[in-house]
Amino acid sequence: MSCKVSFDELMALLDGEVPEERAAVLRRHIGSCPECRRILESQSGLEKTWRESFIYPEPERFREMEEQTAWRIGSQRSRSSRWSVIIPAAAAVVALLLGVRLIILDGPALPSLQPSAADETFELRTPDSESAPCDAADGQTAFADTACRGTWTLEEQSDLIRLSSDDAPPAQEPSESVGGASANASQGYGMGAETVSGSGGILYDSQHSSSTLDTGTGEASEEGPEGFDGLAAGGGGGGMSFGAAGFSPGLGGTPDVPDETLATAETGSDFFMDDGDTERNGEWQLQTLDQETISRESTLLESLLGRLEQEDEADISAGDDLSSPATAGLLAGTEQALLPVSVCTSVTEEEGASTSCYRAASLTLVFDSLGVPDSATALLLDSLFPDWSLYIPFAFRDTVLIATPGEVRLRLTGEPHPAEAE
Amino acid sequence: MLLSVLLLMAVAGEENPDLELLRRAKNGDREAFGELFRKYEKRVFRVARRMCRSDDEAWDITQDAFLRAMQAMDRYDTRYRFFTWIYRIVTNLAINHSEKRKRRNEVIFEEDYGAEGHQTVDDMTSDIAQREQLAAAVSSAVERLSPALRAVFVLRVDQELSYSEIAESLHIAIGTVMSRLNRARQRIREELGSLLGEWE
Repeated sequence: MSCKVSFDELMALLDGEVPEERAAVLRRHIGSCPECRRILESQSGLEKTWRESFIYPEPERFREMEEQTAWRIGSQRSRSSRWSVIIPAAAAVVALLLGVRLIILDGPALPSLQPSAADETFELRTPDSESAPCDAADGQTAFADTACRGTWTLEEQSDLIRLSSDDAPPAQEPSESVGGASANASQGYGMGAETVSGSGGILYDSQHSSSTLDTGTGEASEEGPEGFDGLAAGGGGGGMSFGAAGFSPGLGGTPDVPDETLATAETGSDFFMDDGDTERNGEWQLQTLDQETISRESTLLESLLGRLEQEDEADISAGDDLSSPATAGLLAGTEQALLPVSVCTSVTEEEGASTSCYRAASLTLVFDSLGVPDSATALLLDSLFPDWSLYIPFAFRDTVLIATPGEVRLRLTGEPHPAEAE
Repeated sequence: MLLSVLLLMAVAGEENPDLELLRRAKNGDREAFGELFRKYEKRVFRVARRMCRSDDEAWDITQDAFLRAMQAMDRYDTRYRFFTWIYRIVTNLAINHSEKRKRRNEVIFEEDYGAEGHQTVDDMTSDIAQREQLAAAVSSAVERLSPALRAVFVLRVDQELSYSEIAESLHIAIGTVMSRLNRARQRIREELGSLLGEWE
């Protein structure tokens, strides 16, 4: 520009941010300066064109989003209310957590961390029970919903988690249906409780149980060993089943937690739902789990994750300046939380004791037909992947995802952990 | 002391019509939340959409913004207007999202929008198809701005906030607003190149 009026001042004039006295001077100048006038007109034109080009989505989409958001807020409120119930257990569990984490860092065996004798198993049934089952072969455990959509293979996991001695997955028996819910069909493909040695990530194993708290009901199975992490794809009934290995770190007594089942996408859409015993009427029909076991396992999980959640309370949710040192520290902490956890544990098998180290245990993440995670899943994601909601909501509809933390991270963010990338 | 606090609350209540809605929503009132959501949904979505690349991303950010607003309600300073607060949340979410995307090394789609010969903005704005082309060119240029510049540009040009409202939303000084805004505009003009004519 050759005249003495700066670009900045012209833009301030365009924005109506110049005091009137000065603005009058500028307007007189612009009347006689083609260069300034051209800048103003072109800038005004392009900004107006851009502003007016915006097209809003259909109103129905906003209503859908309102419902989803309300449901998620309700879910979080419900979780929060449960914290108050388990506060008395917090000190003991935190102490346990610290001990576990210390051992994890040091890497020796964890003789006390053994799977529970009783596996809890339950079955998921999809509406489309006629769909062809997905194959589980070559060491891959596949699970799927309709027509194998959203199939996840867990081939990487086979390196991390020891499978049972059976090389081939057991044949899936057709499930019996009882009153719309499936009878126990704990023939899940995978490992037995005795061979779950590496899955001892305390957070993650407990997550299985917590998932059952929210997504279903069921009954404890004494048969145990067939179910853990086993995802029987298809089978005669077209149902998916997976089991949750109970995990008893030996707290020496667990606090009482009210039996409760959280509402799901359908029943929970009334927003801020109560903690009542709400039966799920969604797409997945589940059995009734033993409530005492649920309470025990979920209490442990919630206590553990509660600590993490409390730490997350101070994150950037209020929209703090991202460049602030405090936020930077939190972000660094977040990265730390994404690290795969190395777990060493000792398992007594029939042949004798053995110690195995695994880089990670598996997570079970359950999403409903809207892509909304159940509350236990949300809890876990909040703790491990604080920004998970930036990635998940529309990508995991009708999906049960079982994978290692590294795998989940990869699915969510598209980037493996640096150590894995190498 | 108590009197001054009550007075401040009363004043804030008068100046902040959303306070009652916020309190009710915070206490679990679904209707209040719905009202609040419907009141701000378009603005929040629009900022999110302008800050990111796709509708899906914008929806995610929109939902997250409302979620976080409800979660962080206790930290909301009622002396400020709610819309500046939620603008702050949504822009920070979008910036955070953008940074993550950058870390994933997503390729930025480059297009030469300056190859339209000698047409200028004034010529183009009279034709619908060309206006769409210009809008797309501006969108692309905005997308290539750094998140900090983009946030200021979107709040000013798209949302038509005043400098002080932008400063309040982003918790930055007005001088910073002005400098970022001008840098953003300069860069966009450079990106558009010949579309703007020979203005320099």
